[in-house]
Amino acid sequence: MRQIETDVVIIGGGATGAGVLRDCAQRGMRAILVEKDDIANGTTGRNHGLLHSGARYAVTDQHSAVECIKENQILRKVAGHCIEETDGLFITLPEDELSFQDKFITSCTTAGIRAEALTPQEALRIEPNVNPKLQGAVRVPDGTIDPFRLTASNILDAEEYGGRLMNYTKVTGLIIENGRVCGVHCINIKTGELIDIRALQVVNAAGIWGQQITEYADLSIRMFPAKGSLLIVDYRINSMVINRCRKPADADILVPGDTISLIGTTSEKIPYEDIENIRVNPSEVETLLAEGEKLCPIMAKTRVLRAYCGVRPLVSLGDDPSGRNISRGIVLVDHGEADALPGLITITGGKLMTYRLMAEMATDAVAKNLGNTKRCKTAEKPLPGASGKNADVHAPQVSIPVSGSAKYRHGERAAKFLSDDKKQNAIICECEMVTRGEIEYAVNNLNAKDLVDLRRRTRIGMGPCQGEMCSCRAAGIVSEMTHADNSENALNSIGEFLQERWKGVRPILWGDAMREADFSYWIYDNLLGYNQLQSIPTPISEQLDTADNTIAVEAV
Amino acid sequence: MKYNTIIIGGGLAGLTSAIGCAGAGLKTALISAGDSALTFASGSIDVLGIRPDNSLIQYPFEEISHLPSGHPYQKLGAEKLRQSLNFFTGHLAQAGIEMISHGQQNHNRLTALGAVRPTWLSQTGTTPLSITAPAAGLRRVAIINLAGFRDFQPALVAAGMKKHPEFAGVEFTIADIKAETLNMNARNAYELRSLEMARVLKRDLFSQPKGMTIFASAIQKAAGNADLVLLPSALAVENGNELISELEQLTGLRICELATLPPSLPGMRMASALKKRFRELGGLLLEGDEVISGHFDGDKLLSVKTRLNPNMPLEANHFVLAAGSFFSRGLESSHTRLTDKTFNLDVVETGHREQWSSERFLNGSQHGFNYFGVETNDHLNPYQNGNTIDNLYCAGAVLGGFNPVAEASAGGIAIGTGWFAASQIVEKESGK
Repeated sequence: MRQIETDVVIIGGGATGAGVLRDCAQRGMRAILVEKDDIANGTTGRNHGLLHSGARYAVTDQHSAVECIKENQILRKVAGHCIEETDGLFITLPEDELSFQDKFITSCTTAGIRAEALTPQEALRIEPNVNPKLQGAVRVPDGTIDPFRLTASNILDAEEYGGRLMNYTKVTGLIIENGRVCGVHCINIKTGELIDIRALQVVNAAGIWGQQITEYADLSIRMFPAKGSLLIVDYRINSMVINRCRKPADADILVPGDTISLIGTTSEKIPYEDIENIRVNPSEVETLLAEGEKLCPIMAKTRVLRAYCGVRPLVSLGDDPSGRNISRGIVLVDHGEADALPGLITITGGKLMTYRLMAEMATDAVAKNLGNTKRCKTAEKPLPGASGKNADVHAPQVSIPVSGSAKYRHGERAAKFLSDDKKQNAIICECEMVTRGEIEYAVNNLNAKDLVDLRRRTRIGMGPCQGEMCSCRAAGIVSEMTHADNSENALNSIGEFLQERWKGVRPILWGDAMREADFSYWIYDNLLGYNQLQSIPTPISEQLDTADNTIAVEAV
Repeated sequence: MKYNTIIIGGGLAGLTSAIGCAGAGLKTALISAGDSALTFASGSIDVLGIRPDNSLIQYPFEEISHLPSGHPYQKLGAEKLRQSLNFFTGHLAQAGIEMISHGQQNHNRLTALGAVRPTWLSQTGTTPLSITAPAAGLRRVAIINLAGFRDFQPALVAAGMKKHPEFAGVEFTIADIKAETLNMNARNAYELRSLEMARVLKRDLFSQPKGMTIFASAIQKAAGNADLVLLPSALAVENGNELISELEQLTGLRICELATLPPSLPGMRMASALKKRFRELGGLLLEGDEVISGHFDGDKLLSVKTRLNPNMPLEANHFVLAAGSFFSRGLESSHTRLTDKTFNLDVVETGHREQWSSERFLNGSQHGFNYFGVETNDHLNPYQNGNTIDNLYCAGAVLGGFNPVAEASAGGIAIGTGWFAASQIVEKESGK
């Protein structure tokens, strides 16, 4: 049993938890974030990646709309490399009421959201793939946001202020002494090591999983999970976010992101016990395809790359098993005040858009309890890499597409890995232009431990080929970089990586996706014999203490 | 233009059929859309290596009678399968590639992830390992990469081999021979694919008088006293096996090349040898073209149209459809159904889309889609709306009813059915 002491321990490596870690670290508190999987693996990484202007909520929920536009403007300043300022269109189709438009524009204006009515011709000129039957459109400052990059940058900055991430560390219980939460019991799920982290304050930022954390203290914060499914199509078919100008409904947002577009989301209430085993159903795929086609008819002819789904954490406070008092806003509970259990704070609800504000609110509560009077600066201080594609990084040895992608993802930090070294500059993932240097940087500096983590840090394997070539190449690099006895993990992570991809491919397995799957299966199971490696049973105990008998020889 | 036979598809099945027909003196044309699955193949020939319970098969021919009734091997039988393989190795040897086997037994092929997989025939540049004791005689294995070649990962080869209990006592050495040592002059050697690597090595190293000596001494230095040296198959396409054998003589070491991530040179080497053999036998190879439709009259296919010459249908007495599976575009799927892309033939029952695949991608999963394909009678004649087309034969991966990957049977099915189609055509034509 290892013991660690700190001021604040944060549970949950989504955007909110990462934001709290950064905020605490910036205000001079010692802070540790524990995450049972990898960062941005939960709800944070399984949504639209839409930088809301708030327009979507303007008619139905002014409060959320105002929150969104404020955070929208802040994130444009501090997280430039995670954001594309695409603007958005709210279109009216023949089946929608055109009269809704006036109400929509008025509500947007009241909330402080710029909303400009366009004629169908104007809309088609700026967005040629939009449904030509549209009756009207409103332009709003929507955009896109990359949740993986956003979370990783928050962590990176937090670490530079002394904060610490422990990923693959699962909380198994709260340390409660004399009616006070004094820390968390954890287990490292990769090594099995047990760890106790003692802290003055524990922040529960575990999103939908937060219910389990409060249950460790016999408290009740009830979550009502709602599954949302999305499809990714292979090509950026739209350049602006496209919404329907009507009350929010299923599958009515089409978002461009990097080299792809995505359509979402459906919404389906699911039992809490199912949250670990969600998957996209064929009927959801049909809905998404049909609704997506209404926004951009070209979608019918575009290859679907993959499907995925996430769980929205809707919260109900107090004793409310029915879920009637569900809140869609931010929920902050200091359990010292609410339940006479000091030392524990829960921050939940909200949206990816408001992660920073949620982090600020939670950190304010922590600071108050610890007597820390430092002011929050996360709305002013840019995240590392924020200069994005405009970063002043010179890499004459590297081709423009490579340096462009590197700056696009890492801003000025790209200077840390773009070099004159040919080996470092070798492209490993051709679809997304990821170099060996970027992979090494992600392992050394961004806490990536295996291939699946690398995907979230670098976009490796996210392109049309879905990791066919690059997964082996990257696994080879990871095993070269880390201690030699990690090679077996690297080898296993190829299977995990392909399985991750497969989850997304299976619901849309036809046409080109079928071709690609047939090809991958042939390469991995036939040419490389991967299945033959899996069918040799190796007990966990042996895996952990296999004596390493590899001798590395210097290059000759 | 009228032929005795037109073969559709230039992979292993199509080329075997084409050589069978051309070798018997028939006027034969082969239409090939582009690189075939051989570009992604190991260059070994699997016949039948793995049972449904994942256990390995030692004597494949004894196992054939246990296969389910719709399986292509049941239509062929063990004797014809043997004949076809003898036919194949004979022609391949004529084209310069000798294949080795372990008598009546399968042997193990080592893969670029350090796995061992059962197979029947292997090229001489690889080292076949015993099916029952793959590590026999191995104490020290050296895994050597060339110029940081990114499509071969020595550490993973070692990790994979170590997972196999047989290799527990083996000591592994990992090394990389630098680009400068090999005189390589490439813009960025780390970005070369196997085919480009072979070209650069040919140009900068092997064409030099001392090239082979330089390479041999670098290998010796890196390998030390290893009793098996593993190299990525990135040295040469056509004469790769000869090059390995020359290296073995110069170094005194036992050397095995491993097929890498695509393109796989041993597979490409086999494809080019078979094409060469087909041409030598007087066959006509139409590369870069694709059959888009057929003209049927009752139970006969009269002619086919191609993409490049849609106004000039190609007529023949017999046709062989060997267009491959999904990734070769022989089969196509929409979100509701499966078709053979070329002629809209009857296919095996596929069920609902949810049943097309398994939840796990690898790990021994048998996916429904692997069994998909065209249905045929015992002569390999397909059906169109229930009617047998008796001058059309199907061969290789376009056929349904078997899992080439999970059974380790792809090569044997391609060669066996390709040869069987050809021999039936030859018999009919000679009986005229």
